[in-house]
Amino acid sequence: MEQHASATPEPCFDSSDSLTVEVRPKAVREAISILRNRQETITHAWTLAHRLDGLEEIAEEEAPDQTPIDIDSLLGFLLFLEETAKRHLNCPEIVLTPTGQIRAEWGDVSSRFFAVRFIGLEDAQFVLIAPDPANPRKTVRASTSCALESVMRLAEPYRVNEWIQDPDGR
Amino acid sequence: MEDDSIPDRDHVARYCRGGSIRIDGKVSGVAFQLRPGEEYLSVDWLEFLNQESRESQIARLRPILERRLKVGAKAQIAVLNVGEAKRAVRSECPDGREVDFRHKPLKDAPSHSGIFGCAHGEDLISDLLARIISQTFPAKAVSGVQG
Repeated sequence: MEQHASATPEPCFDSSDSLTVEVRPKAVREAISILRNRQETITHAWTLAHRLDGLEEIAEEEAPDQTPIDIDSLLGFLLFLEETAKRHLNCPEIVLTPTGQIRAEWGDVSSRFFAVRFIGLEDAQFVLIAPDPANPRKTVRASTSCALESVMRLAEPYRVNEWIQDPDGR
Repeated sequence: MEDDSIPDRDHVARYCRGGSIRIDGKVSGVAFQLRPGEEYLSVDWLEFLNQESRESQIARLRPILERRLKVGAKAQIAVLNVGEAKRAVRSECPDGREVDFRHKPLKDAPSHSGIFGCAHGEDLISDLLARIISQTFPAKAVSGVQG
């Protein structure tokens, strides 16, 4: 289904403001299930959903030292996937912070690296290690917080797109 | 002794939760993020355990970790050299951060120590520490192997 160039896709994932503590684990499973069923529009949806299932199991096993997946962070991640769907990003590594936030990582810290931590539905923090666009022999190492919708735009000058996107658009 | 700095030539081990281990087996920088309320990153001073090899140090460390943590099947123990960690953070952190490794013995964990100088939300420093991991070991002993 084609979208009009100027239309903003309706988000599939709603705010979790109304969720009580008791229903949040169920909400996490439901959100993962929604992601799994988005294979037609979100590249790697099934792989990412499978990984999130695994992280949920790990969090259960290591509780209370590991906080369960934070539903707001998960929803922020899913919104990010929706917004970047047309970029066909390579499948990121997904890990869980001590507080249950989702972090997506591309590349390797020893060379080129881009990682986004989803703080909630609206905010993110990213780390960028990449050649300096003005002098590729030098390396930029930066970390900043921003609005979720600004992540890719802020990373663009560092040509992150060139190595985190699938060139064949798969 | 409490608050003694650990020599640069020595090594520390960081317990890395299962959720911090990537699918490719590498340890993510999230393994070096502070939990709410933490003042420093907990590690264990390996040379303090007074064992002959790295493997025996880790074997000695495992039950110590099991006493104070819920060790998961996917969790790992990451080894870092103190001097290398300090140099990496100082040279690659934009503000030239100095991190310090200090002995913070606990009653049931005399090798317990801490990495000081990190702050909450500083993901870059966490990633820089993860980059200089020299070895990793399963945090749970393999069945049939003493540890």
